[in-house]
Amino acid sequence: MNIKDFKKLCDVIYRRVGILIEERKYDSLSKKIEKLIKEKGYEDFRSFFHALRFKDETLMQDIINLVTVNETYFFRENYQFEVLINNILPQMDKELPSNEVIRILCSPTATGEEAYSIALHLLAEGKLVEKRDFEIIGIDIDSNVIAKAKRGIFSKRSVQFLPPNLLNKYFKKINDNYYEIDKFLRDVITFKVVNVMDKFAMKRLGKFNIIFCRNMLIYFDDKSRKEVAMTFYDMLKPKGYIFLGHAESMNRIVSVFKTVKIGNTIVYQKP
Amino acid sequence: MGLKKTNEVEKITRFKSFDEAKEVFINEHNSIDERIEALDYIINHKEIWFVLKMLHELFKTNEMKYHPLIDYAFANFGVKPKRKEDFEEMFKLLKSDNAYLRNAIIEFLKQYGKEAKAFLEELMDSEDRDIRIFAMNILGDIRFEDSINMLRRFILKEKDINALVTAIDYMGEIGDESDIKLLEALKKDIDDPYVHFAIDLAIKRISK
Repeated sequence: MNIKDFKKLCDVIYRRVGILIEERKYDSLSKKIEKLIKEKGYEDFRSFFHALRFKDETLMQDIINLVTVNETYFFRENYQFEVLINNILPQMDKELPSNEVIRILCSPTATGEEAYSIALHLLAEGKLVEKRDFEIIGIDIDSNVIAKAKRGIFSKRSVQFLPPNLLNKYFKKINDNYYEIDKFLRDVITFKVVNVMDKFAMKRLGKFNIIFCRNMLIYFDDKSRKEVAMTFYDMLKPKGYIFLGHAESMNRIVSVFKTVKIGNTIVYQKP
Repeated sequence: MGLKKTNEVEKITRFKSFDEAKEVFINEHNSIDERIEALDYIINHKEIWFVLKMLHELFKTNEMKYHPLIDYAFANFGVKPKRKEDFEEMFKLLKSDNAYLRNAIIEFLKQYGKEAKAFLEELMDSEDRDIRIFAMNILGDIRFEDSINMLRRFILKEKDINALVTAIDYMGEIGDESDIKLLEALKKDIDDPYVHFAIDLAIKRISK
């Protein structure tokens, strides 16, 4: 696979799931991708790429698994958290009774960076958490990642986009490569192993004001995607919002959410 | 005030009987969440045909407030339709005046196309032109092994121009070079510029 093919592949991955793979990764990833192409029985990159784009949805999952090891990180797609903190939550704060807890669900939470990022944004903003209570819950089907989220130890790479003041305030450097998040944060965020397809387990989590479901629905087939979208609809409180990954669109799945554009960010609201 | 953790587990609404759930579901004064809870109970306790019949009777017109309930029902049928009664109700829904309900059933059929082949063939033989067009839409999207043969048979006998053009359009998508002959023969038989245009387009797409 030459560098041109690599760039083509990275472009498709970025458009589908929003993961940006830099050109400098070519040396470390190209051999792994070539191995996958061979394992899957394709003669060359061209036939593999064609199948990936038009025929075999599972190939995208394989290639994503291959390139996304530890790909999640703090403040990923940060513009969405900014919209949450600067627009949506202040509005909710005005509209909801002051004793009502604003509940936020992260699904799938993976190793917890997204849920902790929301908490860090709330703490950095400061005013909202002084006025009312917030609850953040992260769920994932994978028990290993939930254990990691609870442990709260993150690689240097995972925290690389955190503002230095937040990194210094809420993390303890363990060694040159790892940081541990403050115990207070580990204690206030709930992480649970839950399968989104398990409707009753999902219902037991209760109703939420905000759901983050980024880059998950793209891995499902149409039927499961609809089922999960309607489960989220049911789990949202009226006027609650759902955030999807930048390459995903709720309008292509179900039409019951209202599309709201805030700045350059699209969010979906339960009427 | 601040970040907090609760260990509360939400209680799931339980209904004592189907009648109680149905009462909650049909009452338009209840909130959408209450109605979805009731619908969930009904879906879990009744067969598909029963739920479809209920949707058909309750949602005769296309109103936004019904959309979440319709979407929720179709997203949550745990099993595939297989009984004669299921398909009878599906057929009735295809003729509903509620366009949203009609589209929902088309999408549902697309998901279960392979299993619904016999039903699809019935739709293709329907006397109602719109139903035959629906059948073409579904067939074009399902693309199971025999789709192309079903499409060829349909094209050879279809008399309605709109239904025929829909079929030709799909032929352009799923047909192969052997279908060009059939399309060219059809062009000679039918003297209609709309059909000719569709045939030319389909041949172009196949040749690509």
